[in-house]
Amino acid sequence: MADPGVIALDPARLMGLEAYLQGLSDGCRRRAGRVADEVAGSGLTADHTVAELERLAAACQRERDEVAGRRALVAALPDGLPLTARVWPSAVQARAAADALADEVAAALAAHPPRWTDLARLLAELDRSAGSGPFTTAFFRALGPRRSRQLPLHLEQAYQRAWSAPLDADGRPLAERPYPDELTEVIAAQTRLAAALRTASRVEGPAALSRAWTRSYTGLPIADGAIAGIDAVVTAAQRREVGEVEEALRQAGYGLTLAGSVARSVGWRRAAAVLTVDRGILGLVVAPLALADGDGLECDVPEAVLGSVAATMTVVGAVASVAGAPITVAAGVLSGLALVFGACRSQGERPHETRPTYDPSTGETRMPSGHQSNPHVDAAGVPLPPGYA
Amino acid sequence: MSRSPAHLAAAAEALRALADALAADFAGLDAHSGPATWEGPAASAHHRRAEVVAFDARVVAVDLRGLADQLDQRAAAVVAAQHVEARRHQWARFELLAALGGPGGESDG
Repeated sequence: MADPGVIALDPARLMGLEAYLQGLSDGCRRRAGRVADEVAGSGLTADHTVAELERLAAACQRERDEVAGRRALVAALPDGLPLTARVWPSAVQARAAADALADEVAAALAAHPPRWTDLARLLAELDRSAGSGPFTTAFFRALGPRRSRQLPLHLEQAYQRAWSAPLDADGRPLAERPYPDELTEVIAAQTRLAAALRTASRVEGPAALSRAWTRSYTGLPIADGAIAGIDAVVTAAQRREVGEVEEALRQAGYGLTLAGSVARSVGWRRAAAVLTVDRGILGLVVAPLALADGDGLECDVPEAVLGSVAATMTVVGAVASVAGAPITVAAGVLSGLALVFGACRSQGERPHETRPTYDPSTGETRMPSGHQSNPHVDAAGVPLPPGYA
Repeated sequence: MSRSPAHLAAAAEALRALADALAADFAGLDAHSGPATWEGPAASAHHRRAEVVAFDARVVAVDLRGLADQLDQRAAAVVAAQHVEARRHQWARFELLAALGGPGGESDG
């Protein structure tokens, strides 16, 4: 099949263009006749102008036929072909389009519950500009750190809601959730999002993702000045983990700021990260409670989440060293995110806890996010609501 | 058959109107074929050709206005020629009357 040479088109507008070109062609021919009539008998000659008008008419007719032909080629294409990358003529246009797309994603997330078809369509649109730094940074900034972090999980949940279980002969469902080999669609959507974030994280300068955005995304509401102090007092094993994860993410193509922030968030047990086959950040699940006042090291990542963090560390190591690992990783990615989130949700009332809790075994009092003494605040300094994601 | 100055002036105005309409029609080409309509290599090639066509249309519009100016000059030249012819005709009439000694001619005293 001939290549239509078309990335995207609006059929109605393209038909309008055809009609417009046809009108131009007809108009030029009509005017060529009028010019000849008006000049006749004046003693002047308009042969050149008339010839130019007729040449214009022919050119417009050729363009009209060309456009109609391209439209016919596109119409003959089978459905479901992936869209090719979009190239933005200017950063201003890219940012405007990214803002609009972020608004659409935010609106889709605000639906109760978010619909898989809406999210998948919007993620496909994001994927077309995933290589554009201005577009991706503008998109994530407009979407906000919290929604950006929650989006992969919403994708997963929306997909599971849209999934229909196969039935046995008696009409009973054969499975409670999709089989791993049925999850390629949602994993692909999550991977697209990870790729876009990777691009955005590499942008530097005024248009880059801000440190406040990154801190909020990774659940590390710690000022830059405090990070060195915390690095100095964590255990050697945690320091090593932070270094390994940061290096792995940097090798995977992430920018320094995001790689460092995610590595610390994971290494300090503040969040659990789930990675893609190529070590893209598929999702982060942030611990429900923020770092406590004082030492800034205490957090409330549940044991199950700690287990997932350990698994994530294994994943990072495995992908870095074992060639055959990616297949294993791909199968574990989805369950990773779901398990981590599920572990957080299974902590009973803790997601909704708003009062300080006393741990008699350690003698410590922990402050939930939202508490006035808790530094878990967003970029504007507003305490974040209690919750796990 | 030669045309009167009034006809020539009307033709000039008609050509200017045609030039204005032509320029206005092609000015909308960009808006119709922009990225909101289609994108891709074919669209890019179309945009390049459309730019050339739109430029050529502007050149034709300039040609038409030049032609209209020539028609105006031709009309003015015809008016001037008619005026000279009328004066010459009037002068010849005066000379004839003078030769005949009629009104406006020399008196015998």
